[in-house]
Amino acid sequence: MQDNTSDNLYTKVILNGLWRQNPALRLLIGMCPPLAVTTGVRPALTMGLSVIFVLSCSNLVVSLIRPFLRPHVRIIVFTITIATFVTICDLLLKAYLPAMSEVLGPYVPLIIVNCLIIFRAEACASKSPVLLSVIDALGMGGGFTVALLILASIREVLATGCWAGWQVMPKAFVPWLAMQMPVGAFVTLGLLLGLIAMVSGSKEARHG
Amino acid sequence: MDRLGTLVMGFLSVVVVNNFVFTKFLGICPYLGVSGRLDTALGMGLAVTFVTTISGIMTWSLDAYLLTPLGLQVTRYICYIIVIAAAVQLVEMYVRRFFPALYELFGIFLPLISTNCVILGLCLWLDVWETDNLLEAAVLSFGTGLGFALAICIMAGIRQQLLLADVPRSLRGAPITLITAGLLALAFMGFGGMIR
Amino acid sequence: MSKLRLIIQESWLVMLAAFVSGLLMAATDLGLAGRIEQNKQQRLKELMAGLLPQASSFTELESRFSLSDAKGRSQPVVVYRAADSQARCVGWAFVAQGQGFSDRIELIVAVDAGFTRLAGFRVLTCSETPGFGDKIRQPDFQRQFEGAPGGGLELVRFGDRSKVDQQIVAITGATVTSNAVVEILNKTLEGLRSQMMEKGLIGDAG
Repeated sequence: MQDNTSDNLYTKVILNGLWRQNPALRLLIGMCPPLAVTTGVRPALTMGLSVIFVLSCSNLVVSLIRPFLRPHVRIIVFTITIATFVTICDLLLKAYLPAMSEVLGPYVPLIIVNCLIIFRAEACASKSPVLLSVIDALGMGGGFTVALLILASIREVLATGCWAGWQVMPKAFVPWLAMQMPVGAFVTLGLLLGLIAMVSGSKEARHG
Repeated sequence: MDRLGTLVMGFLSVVVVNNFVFTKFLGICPYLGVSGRLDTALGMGLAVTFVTTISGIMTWSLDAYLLTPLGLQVTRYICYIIVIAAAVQLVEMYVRRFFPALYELFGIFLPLISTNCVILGLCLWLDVWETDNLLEAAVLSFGTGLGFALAICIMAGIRQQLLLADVPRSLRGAPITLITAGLLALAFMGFGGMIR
Repeated sequence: MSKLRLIIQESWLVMLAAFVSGLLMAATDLGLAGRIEQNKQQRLKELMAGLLPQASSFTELESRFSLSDAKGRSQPVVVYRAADSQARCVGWAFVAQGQGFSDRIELIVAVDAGFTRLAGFRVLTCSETPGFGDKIRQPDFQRQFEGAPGGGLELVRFGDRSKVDQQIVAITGATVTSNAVVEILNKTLEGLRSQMMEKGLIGDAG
């Protein structure tokens, strides 16, 4: 019985990250990478996985040290933890995925100031047990990655006719080059958010 | 003279041609959050300009005079973020103590901006651009901050007009702001290639 | 004394965190630095091998070269000597850079042994407008340089791309970027040739 309820809790936490509180699509935090690295599916996936890695590690560490945290040095401890894992992540990318590291460039170190990570450290990991914090990180990171992938898929398919490098559109398709430029990022994300608002709005209307 | 020309060109380039918001998507969170009214937008813009200039100079010096000679580049990111956080803290205390009027204008935004991507982004891009002297770093930092202020003020002006417009319900708020930002980015592309 | 104790009480975690994080970063760096360096070399070598297929080894020249960039600073340039299996010199390769339409462009360039003909170039970094300036990565544009004279290249708007000579046909919609590539090549080739002659690495051209 005990197991069942905790299982439920974990599922709830995961779903919460993936949809109900999806960081990029619902809460609108950590918005820079969704716009900047979604010109292609591969960089988006790399960025998503990096965020999951950093978020899980920082949530794990913050949750472990949570009994020792003092209120006014809390933020600086979080920041040091996050910056450490981001540096490690950056080095790992450079060593094992040099091509991707080149494409992402300074957007990898910019994960440090991705509000999502410090938000989860503050809102969840500093108050919850280790397992729950890690699961929360996976859910939130997963939701973030999914959002990146959706946006990247739309942009890459329309801009080049390919998905992750594979041709998916007919040869006659004329690429929408604008989708690869900044304007494409802003407008796609804007319309996507509008669509989500419309879907959840009509759901609410039905329920209410 | 040549040097002055480089500086002016670099300055214009980061303000309009390579505007951080429209070409590098940095600082989008405050851009969406605080662009509702012109006066708060101006305050935020000024605060960012101020802190960007200071932290740009500090991190560049730190990198050039301490980290690179000692071969400690691996600790670069952590040093940058700590320097920025400290700079924000100090600026806030200093401004509150000595310039109360200024503090009224943008002081309340200061604590919010240590996690603003524009600032860390700029510090990182100073490396990418291979800035090689302090003056250039300072000018580029100031320009970047000003570029952000420009972007956020334009947006605030537009959003004030949008209040009167009949926007479809599901697009209200963030979506329409993003679409507007997209159109602005398109407009700013017109500056592209102006400076080489 | 009690003040010091208070400070330590409040901040020991920060100090510990800083210490541990330093250790972690140092360890990762130590473990991966070699691999990262190797990756960079690997990438350069692969691109050079694509340009000079007859070469079997590339060695970095020990003598130093430098060129002044747009801002008038002198930039070091590393030159690689390409040799075939009998250790005969079959060409030279180096990294050339300059300002493009929106940002810096970095190219890797290869020339023949006498520094008289280009073997071609490949793009190392370029963040030009996608769909326009980006097209300098396309073989269609790059092939015009493979065998072109090593200097005095000029850009034309229209012409026959399949003919390899000093006339380079610009990419439609990206004249500025095409021009940047031509200028980078001309400047770097000229600068390096004179320095290499001074050092006696190549004979008189012609």
